[in-house]
Amino acid sequence: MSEGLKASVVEMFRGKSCGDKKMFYVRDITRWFPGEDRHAIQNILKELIDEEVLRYWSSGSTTFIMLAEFFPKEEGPCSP
Amino acid sequence: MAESKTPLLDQLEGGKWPSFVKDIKQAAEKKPMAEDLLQQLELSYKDRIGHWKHGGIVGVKGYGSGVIGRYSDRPDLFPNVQAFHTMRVNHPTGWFYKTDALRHLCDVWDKHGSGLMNMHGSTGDAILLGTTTDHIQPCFDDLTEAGFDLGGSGSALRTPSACVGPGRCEWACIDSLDICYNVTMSFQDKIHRPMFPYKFKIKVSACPNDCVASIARADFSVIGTWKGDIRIDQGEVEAYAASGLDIQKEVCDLCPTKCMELDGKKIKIYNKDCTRCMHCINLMPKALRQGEEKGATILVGGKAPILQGALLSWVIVPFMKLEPPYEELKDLVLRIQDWWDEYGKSRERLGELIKRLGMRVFLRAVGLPAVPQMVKAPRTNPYVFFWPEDIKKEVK
Ligand code: HEM
Ligand code: HEM
Ligand code: SF4
Ligand code: SF4
Repeated sequence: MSEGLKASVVEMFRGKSCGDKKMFYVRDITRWFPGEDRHAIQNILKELIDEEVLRYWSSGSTTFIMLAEFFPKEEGPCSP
Repeated sequence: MAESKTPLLDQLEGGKWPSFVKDIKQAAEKKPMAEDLLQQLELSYKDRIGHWKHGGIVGVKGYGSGVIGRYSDRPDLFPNVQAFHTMRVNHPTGWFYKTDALRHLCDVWDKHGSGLMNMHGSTGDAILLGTTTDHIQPCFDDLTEAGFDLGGSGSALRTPSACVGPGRCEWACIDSLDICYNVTMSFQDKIHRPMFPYKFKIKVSACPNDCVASIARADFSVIGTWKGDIRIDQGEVEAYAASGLDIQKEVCDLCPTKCMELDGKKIKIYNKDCTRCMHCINLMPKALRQGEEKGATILVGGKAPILQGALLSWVIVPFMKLEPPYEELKDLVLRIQDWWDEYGKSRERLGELIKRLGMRVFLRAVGLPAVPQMVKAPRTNPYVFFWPEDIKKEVK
């Protein structure tokens, strides 16, 4: 697998996460790379999730992917 | 007697039927979590609004599904349900448990969660309701040790399910249990690591009675069926008549295609017109048996309403022989998922995508021929199946 492509996936995530929107559908992510094979991007996503660079976020019915650093902190009575 | 703290919920205990309120109250005697659940639910009834926030958390290490995060939006009032996550456990195929396995499952949940479970959710899984974030991993470890695994959630292949089929039922035309288990084991990655546009469900019923309602609830439905004539034991037909069954009224008149005839005491079936609905066989199991050649009908596109309305599955393969290792079946699943994964919009189910792009496009993409059984209803336009070059070939 191409390390270059993997790096550009992370780079793309950083660029796209500048605004308020931090969570993306897999479908959106594969569309960021129109020239690349969808499956290759999906495999890279799985690797990056294993490496804890990215994280899944799920409502239960739908799944998103986001940079791990933006994953919401555990909420509770003590959190602001 | 002290005044009840849950007057609204108490009303739900009033009917003749079993009440989940009673169950939660029972659990609340042991678990503060269940007590807070009760109180928060009472508040929801009062405020007429749900007090749950959608999570984010997805599972244990290596998994992207199986845990559904839920948090209370009033942790100030109900600290014990501040986090109340659901764990979906892949049920044994056909829901066959030995009692010691069930006990073990309950023990694990008493240790790590609220003690409340839902046997089973509509996807099929055993649903363990309510645990905290720090208990998820240890609970998973204990479940694994007991031989259980998490099921699917989110944009993943959901836990496949099947009717009890040959395990108990004489009407099974296929081994629904083995097919479901085989599919589950083959597609582990798709269950645990969501990469689809949305959920995808596979359900297997071993005959057209469709006890898992795969036609209404699965994107990919496998329904057992037969070829050849329904086998008739005329002696047993007479016995049914003698025992008081009105065969003309109850059986023949209710045959959806009117392909049965009572000729004196004998029954005649015009098998070419039979749609294999099972009605007659259900009513006279001793007299009528399915045809000898067994297989399955494959349908796609069923779903409940969320973004768009409900859809029933649509026949795409009228008859497929199903024998282990089911390569033809799994290959078809993969081709369909790949097409959907490529063209589906986020949160678009397979059935909706087929409606949007057309059955013709779908069939060409997955390499299936158009056949008459695909016409859902006469007089909806049959021309949709033909490509211009097909028409040129026909009209010489
Ligand atoms: C004297 C002239 C015509 C007569 C007697 C006639 C008669 C009919 C009849 C009996 C039907 C079947 C209705 C049904 O099954 O409910 C029909 C359907 C139809 N007709 Fe005509 N028609 C005539 C002219 C036309 C013209 C000029 C057009 C188009 C420019 C047309 C387009 C259609 C279409 C599209 C259908 C529906 C076909 C379908 O259900 O798939 N007809 N016509
Ligand atoms: C305000 C104008 C129109 C209205 C309200 C209207 C309404 C309808 C309705 C309710 C149907 C039946 C749909 C169904 O069976 O589910 C229909 C069918 C049809 N209409 Fe119209 N229509 C209009 C104008 C037109 C025009 C201008 C044409 C052709 C030039 C046309 C051609 C047809 C044809 C060919 C069908 C049959 C389609 C099929 O069976 O596949 N309609 N229309
Ligand atoms: S779907 Fe058919 S085979 Fe399966 S349990 Fe129901 S009646 Fe029996
Ligand atoms: S299975 Fe259904 S369609 Fe076929 S003969 Fe019996 S009642 Fe009629």
